[in-house]
Amino acid sequence: MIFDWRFTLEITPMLLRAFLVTVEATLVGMAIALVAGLVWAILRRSRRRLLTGAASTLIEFVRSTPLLIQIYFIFFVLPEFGLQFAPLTTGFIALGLHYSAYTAEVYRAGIEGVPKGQWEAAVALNMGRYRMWRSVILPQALPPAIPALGNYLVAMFKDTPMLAAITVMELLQTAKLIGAQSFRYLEPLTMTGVLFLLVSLLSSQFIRRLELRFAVRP
Amino acid sequence: MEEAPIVSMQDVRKRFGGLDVLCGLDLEVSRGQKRVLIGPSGAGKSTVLRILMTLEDIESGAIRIDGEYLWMPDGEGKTTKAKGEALRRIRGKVGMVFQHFNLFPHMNVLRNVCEAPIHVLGLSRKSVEERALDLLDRVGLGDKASAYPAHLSGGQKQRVAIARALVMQPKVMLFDEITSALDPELVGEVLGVLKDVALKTDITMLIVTHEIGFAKEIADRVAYVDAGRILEDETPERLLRNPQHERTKKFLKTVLTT
Repeated sequence: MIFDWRFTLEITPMLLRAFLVTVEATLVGMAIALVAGLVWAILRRSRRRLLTGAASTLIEFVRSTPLLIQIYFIFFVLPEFGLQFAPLTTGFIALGLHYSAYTAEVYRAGIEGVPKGQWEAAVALNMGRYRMWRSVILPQALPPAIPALGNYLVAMFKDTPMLAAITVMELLQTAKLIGAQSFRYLEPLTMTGVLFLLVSLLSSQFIRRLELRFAVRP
Repeated sequence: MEEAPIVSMQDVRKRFGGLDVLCGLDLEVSRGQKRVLIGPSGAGKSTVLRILMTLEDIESGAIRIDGEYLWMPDGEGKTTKAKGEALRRIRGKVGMVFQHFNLFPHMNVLRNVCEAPIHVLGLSRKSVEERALDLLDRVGLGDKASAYPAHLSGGQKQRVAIARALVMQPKVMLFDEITSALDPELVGEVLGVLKDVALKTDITMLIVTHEIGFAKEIADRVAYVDAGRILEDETPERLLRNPQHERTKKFLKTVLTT
């Protein structure tokens, strides 16, 4: 079997459309993971035991169960309790929630890296909780977290094919479909791999730039 | 009629782990007073300041700042800390300068000074920046407003920290060994600023220091703290010239001969 370039060109528009779904799932999922993870990390530092406990339990639970089960659970089980989402929305939620457990840990490391004296200075200046986090803690905790967060972005991107399991027409699912219809798997799957590779490489570059951009000034 | 003290601590006890740090400490500071705390390390001097800044909790005792209870005893041996609005109000009356400066490394000097007055006191950026630049001039750093802390010497950092605390216009300022982390040649510039503040403002000052000579110059009273209690509390002349307790004598002898 030789690589058919004409066939490749023919299926490219279809693959690119599917690719957009993959990118969309990654970006929305990551946005959710970035925000939710930060919320968990901050709740973990709360003085209320109940909040700390709830956040810790959630993180442990999510990290200790496979993403695929979480996807199935949201898609097939939650509707029985009246919570029904479209496949792609399910994907956003599942990816976002799953990765928020990991980003929460990344944030936590960043937050713990802020010296105690910084918290004390904020108290001495009579800052409230919000102001303290916003002006003092997060600007110092986030930049060191960027590389690790970026790695999870790439990891999430590579996990998007799991959404195929709940009929989201993302890249891999589409490639499989093309293969099934044309009996040619070489081109669609190769293209899929190349697209994943390209975006992963570009993301790594982008993350490195972010790292430099947000580095704490010497 | 004598005015009520601005800071009053009564029978304050504080433990760290199994260790008694303060063992029934009493302290009264009158308005505008410049009070210096001296004593061996581990005596509890810094703890007194940190408690007043609300950074540490206590086991028992009463603490009032400007008439308000920071820690209110219930008469049965328990004491409760002010909460919410009251705590914020009390905190607003107190400012602190730390041994290790604790400047915000991600902000330049001007923003270090302006951040809290703008966002905590809700003052306009313009008026705050004017006042901040004034203060920076006063501590001799008018030309460093846009520098980042990492580019400053220890002495400069500490002077910024003093300006940052002053801009909040506290009634009580706490200085916790603010020259201990400095190279010897930088101590003078910081003490100079401190002296300037002491002489030109009516802010009440509590100063923990090992600079006995400096204490003599600016203190209204010097308290000798040892093992979690105030052992002697006198004018600097009397305490330094004629200490009553053996331990005070011994302490003064060691610090004055080194």
